[in-house]
Amino acid sequence: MIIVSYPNIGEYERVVYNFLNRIIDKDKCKILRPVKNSKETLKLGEKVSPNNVCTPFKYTLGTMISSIKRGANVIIQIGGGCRFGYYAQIQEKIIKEDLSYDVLVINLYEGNKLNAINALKKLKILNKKLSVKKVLKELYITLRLLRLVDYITTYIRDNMCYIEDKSKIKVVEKEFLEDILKIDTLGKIKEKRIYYINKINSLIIKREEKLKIGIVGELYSLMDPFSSSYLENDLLEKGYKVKRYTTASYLLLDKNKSEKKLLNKAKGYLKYKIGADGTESVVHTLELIDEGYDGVIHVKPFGCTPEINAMPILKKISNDYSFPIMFYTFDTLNSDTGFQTRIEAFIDMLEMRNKK
Amino acid sequence: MKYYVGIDIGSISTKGVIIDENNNIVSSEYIWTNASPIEASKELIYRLRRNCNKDVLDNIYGIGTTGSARELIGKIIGANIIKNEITAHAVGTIYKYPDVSTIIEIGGQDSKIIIIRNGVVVDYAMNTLCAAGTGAFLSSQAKRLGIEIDEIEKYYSKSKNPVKIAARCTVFAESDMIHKAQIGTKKEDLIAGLCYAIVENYMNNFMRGRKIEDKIVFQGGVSKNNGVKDAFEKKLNRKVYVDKDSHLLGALGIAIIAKSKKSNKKLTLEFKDLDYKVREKECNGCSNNCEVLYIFENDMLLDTIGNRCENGKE
Repeated sequence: MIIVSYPNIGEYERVVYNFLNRIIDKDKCKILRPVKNSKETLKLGEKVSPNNVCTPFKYTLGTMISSIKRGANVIIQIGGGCRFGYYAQIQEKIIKEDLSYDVLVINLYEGNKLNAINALKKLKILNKKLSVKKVLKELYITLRLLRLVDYITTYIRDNMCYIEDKSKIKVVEKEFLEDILKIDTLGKIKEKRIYYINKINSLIIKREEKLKIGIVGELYSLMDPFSSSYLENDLLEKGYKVKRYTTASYLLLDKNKSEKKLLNKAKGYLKYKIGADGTESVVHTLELIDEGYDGVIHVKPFGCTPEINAMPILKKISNDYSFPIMFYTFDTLNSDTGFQTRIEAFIDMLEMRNKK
Repeated sequence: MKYYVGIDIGSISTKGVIIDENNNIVSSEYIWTNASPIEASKELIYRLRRNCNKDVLDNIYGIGTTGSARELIGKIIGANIIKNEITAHAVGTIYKYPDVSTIIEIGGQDSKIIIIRNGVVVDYAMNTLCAAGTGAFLSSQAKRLGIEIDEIEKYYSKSKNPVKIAARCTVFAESDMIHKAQIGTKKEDLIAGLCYAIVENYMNNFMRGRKIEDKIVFQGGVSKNNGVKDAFEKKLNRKVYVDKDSHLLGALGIAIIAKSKKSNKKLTLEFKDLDYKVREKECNGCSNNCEVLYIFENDMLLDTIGNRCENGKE
């Protein structure tokens, strides 16, 4: 019996589950959903990771090991962009050589690119009868589903500050998260989109001015709540308007189309790309300033080179526009208290500036 | 007359003030935390009460806590405002020095810079990764040299030729110190070098890329050390102000913030003579696995810190 698992990032593992569930041979293969990132999975990953590797490596390796301990024997990993492109290979080495687990690690990316045919060949281990047509069809539905997930979660993020009772929207969010696992046709995607937008709209009482905060930085910390100390959620619950550009559908579907445009928008600050999402951090900060946001929080895991590249440029922008930007670096040993203190002070500062 | 209390529970020292409606300090205290914020606050409140008359104690309309133990102590004594030390320090200093532009703060375990323009905080930074260039480093090095922390100033003023010590990192600074000591450098030159190292470390960390404008106010425990203050003035080539109550400005700030809440509810400033215990546990109520701090008052659960949802309040 093949038991397949994969690393985790935020709630996106539900989409991966949804996809795999539709392509595997259910008689011979089972899916083991990864657990959410937690102190325990982090401990598992940290123990066997190189000390100076960027933090997401430790998170993903931790969830993978946790899945293997619960019985998984095939692990799917992808990666690309920066050092992230070598995650799968190094993690495979650690799992097989250092920990001597007998598992198969499938890396869907090859040399930073997704080669559809090779990827399909690799996926055949999950279902021998898998055809190109079938994969393409299911992949199309999955990408549309991914769009839906980002559309709804962004809509929740945009409107949460207008909703008085935050527990009500949490209920809707929970219902939606359960739905992600089940949606399997394009029709249902359409139907659910209307259903959830209406449901969220019905909760909105009054649209009034709120403190507006943008979040930019490294993709994993942004999209996985645990690895950024639930920053986004905390801000939302306190009733601020929060904007984040980085979503999975942006990275997978929109990013490549817009590279030239991005550099154009960063004119005066960047002449060429600075790797992974560093360029985005700069451009999005400029956009947030244009849109009248009150401040930006830049988050990155320890050792993230592209974002380190972005930091001095962001500092310059902060000086030029006298625009508040807070920088925060996460590592595996950060205490929540120190972080809370800084966030609180940052928001106090924004409110003080607004009053004057 | 209404009165307001501000308590600043730092890692090294615990400070408290009681102010009246016009922000005049009617009672203030400053004691060591000794790694036991609960005991220190108890003692502090006892002393604050002892200093004032009944009229003050009967007319308290706001209690605020700040500093690294603000949540814990705030919940135990029933504070009506709990705020971070950065805001508290800014508010306290702006009240005392309305024209302040730069606040240099070096405390026991952390250091920060707060940039103010026209009475509004526009930028701040706080050390994130290590304790190099804080009071803790200064006191550990003083101990190594076999002198008391308050003697630093005396040695500093004697020095004619301060040694150069690597300021980047505590560990390197220490090995520099050992080396310099072993080649026979005078103690006063070592100590003066140490003061300069703190200042250089601070300037490297916080002042690079920032416009430092007058007026500069220096506070936090280390500001009481004239050696470091003098080193700052020499390095910056500007006058650096140190308030006579520089150690109390955080407490003053939080008291002013408590006042600004304009609450009409009377509060009692007291630390009940009960047994307080704290237990830390990872909550397994949901997949967030928050680390929750449970505060017990005589074995009864008083409050929790750190839980993100109701599940944590077992």
